[in-house]
Amino acid sequence: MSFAKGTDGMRQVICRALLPLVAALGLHFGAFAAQPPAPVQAVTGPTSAPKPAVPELDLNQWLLRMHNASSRKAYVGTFVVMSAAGGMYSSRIWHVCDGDVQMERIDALTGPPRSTLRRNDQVITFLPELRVARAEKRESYGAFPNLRRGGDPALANLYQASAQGVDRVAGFDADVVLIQPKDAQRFGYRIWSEKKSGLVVKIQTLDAEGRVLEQAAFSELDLDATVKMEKLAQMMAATGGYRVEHPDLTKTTAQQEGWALKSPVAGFQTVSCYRRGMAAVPTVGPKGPSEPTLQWTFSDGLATVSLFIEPYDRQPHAADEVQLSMGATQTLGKRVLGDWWVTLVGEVPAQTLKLFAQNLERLR
Amino acid sequence: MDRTLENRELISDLADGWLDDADAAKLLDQLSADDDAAVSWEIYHLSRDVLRGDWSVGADATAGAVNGLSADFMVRLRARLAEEQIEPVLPESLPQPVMAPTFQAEAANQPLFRWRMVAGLASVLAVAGLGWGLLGQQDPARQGGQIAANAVIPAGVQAVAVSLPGDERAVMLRDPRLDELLAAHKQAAGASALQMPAGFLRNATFEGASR
Repeated sequence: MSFAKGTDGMRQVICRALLPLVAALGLHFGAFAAQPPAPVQAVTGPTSAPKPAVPELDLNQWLLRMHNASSRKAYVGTFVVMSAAGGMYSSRIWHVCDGDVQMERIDALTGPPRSTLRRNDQVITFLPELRVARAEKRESYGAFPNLRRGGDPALANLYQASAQGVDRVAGFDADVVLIQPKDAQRFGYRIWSEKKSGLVVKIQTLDAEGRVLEQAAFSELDLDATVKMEKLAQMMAATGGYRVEHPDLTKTTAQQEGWALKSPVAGFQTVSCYRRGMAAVPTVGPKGPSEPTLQWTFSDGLATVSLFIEPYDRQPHAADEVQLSMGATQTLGKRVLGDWWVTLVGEVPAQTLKLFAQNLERLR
Repeated sequence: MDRTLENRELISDLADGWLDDADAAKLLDQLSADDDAAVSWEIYHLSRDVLRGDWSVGADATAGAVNGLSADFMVRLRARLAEEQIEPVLPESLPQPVMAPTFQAEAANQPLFRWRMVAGLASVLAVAGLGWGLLGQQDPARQGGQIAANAVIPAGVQAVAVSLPGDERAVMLRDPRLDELLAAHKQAAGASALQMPAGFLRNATFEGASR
């Protein structure tokens, strides 16, 4: 949002003005570290003075710490997501963990009432107005076993982490970590990790110029809350009076469907590929029953890109290319290879979506 | 009628210069205390600007979001909007959205930057909404939504007026197809989502407003 950009910009200006002064006077930077927190980029350079008391960890160690925090803590809080365009969404969160089982309840406070319950990768979303419950399996936690074993070496080729100082979020002291991409194919992140537990309490998604595209944070958080797993489990099972919908998914591979990428997009690997029935698409078109949409999903370890491929003539299209940006999520609709329409969705720069679209190749 | 809708009606009346001084003063007090009311006030002014042709694309945040559109898109869009025939189905209970072009007062309690931000966003939404909307022209659900929108919105600016400043929901509502793809992406994005539950929280919260 504009205020965040403005604040950062101002901090940078102040720091640029201060640093030569510090050097000229021969002041020890530690004197400044004792001042109120100043998580600014100016102190991250290789020549910078000693940093505030932030653990010296590498990218994978930071991610592991943040990841593990969620598997230890029970908490209740209010979570807010704000996009650079001014959109603001909030939800109430209950989180509890017991051994290997993580449970979560997320009640949307913005927009139509909606309650999402998660037990590890099982997710069910209640839409009380529609009396519909959507049950799905998020391909998720545990999909990156390397992280749990101490780090994914490939990730360090794509991103680097640097400590930025300390700050306070929702009343908690937090380490500020900047995760910068090493190329232009992905966004950067600034993450606030609660000092004692490592829990992520705030995330900013940053574009190549360091502008905040979207930020998500706890506005209020209780880390000592009592959350009863049995109660969440009961709620998750209480589908009485709801029509339970399951996504219409068939596992497949891109190759089997006749698709490939001429050359890979740096760092992105296939995560999954499904034939997906779409409710909003007519199942019978002018040329008879239509094929399901193909969803081909890639990840670089942090960001995710989905390609949705379908025949071009399924729906009328006004333009050959349409682009839309919503916070960190970018979308691109594009006609490819004449007969196909691909919709790309991802938390990556629009340029990366274009690369995927350009590299798409029909095998048959 | 709920209070928000009633307020919007009053705001529309104020913009049209139909309220007497006492009612206008009361409403202006509400505007300063109520974000939703202030946003409605801005929508009506934005709609008026569009009707008068005072609103131009290219400023503000639009440049990045309409990259895929040809340079004369806005010109053609305006021409199309000018030709658009809107069925005169205006239930009596709904606000009369006719703008009074002579009313010039700015909301005294709204700093200029906020106004510009909202105007910029609304223009992004208008273009984006139309862009995606055109993709799904045959979609019955969407057509239903548009008819409903036409009933309450001044002729020719439906895309602007249904876009609620401050979020991207309007685009989603107008295109269930894109909404569905975004939901499908988020489901798959559980695979990484920053490799942490915070990514899931973000997705679930963000998604929450799109339904």
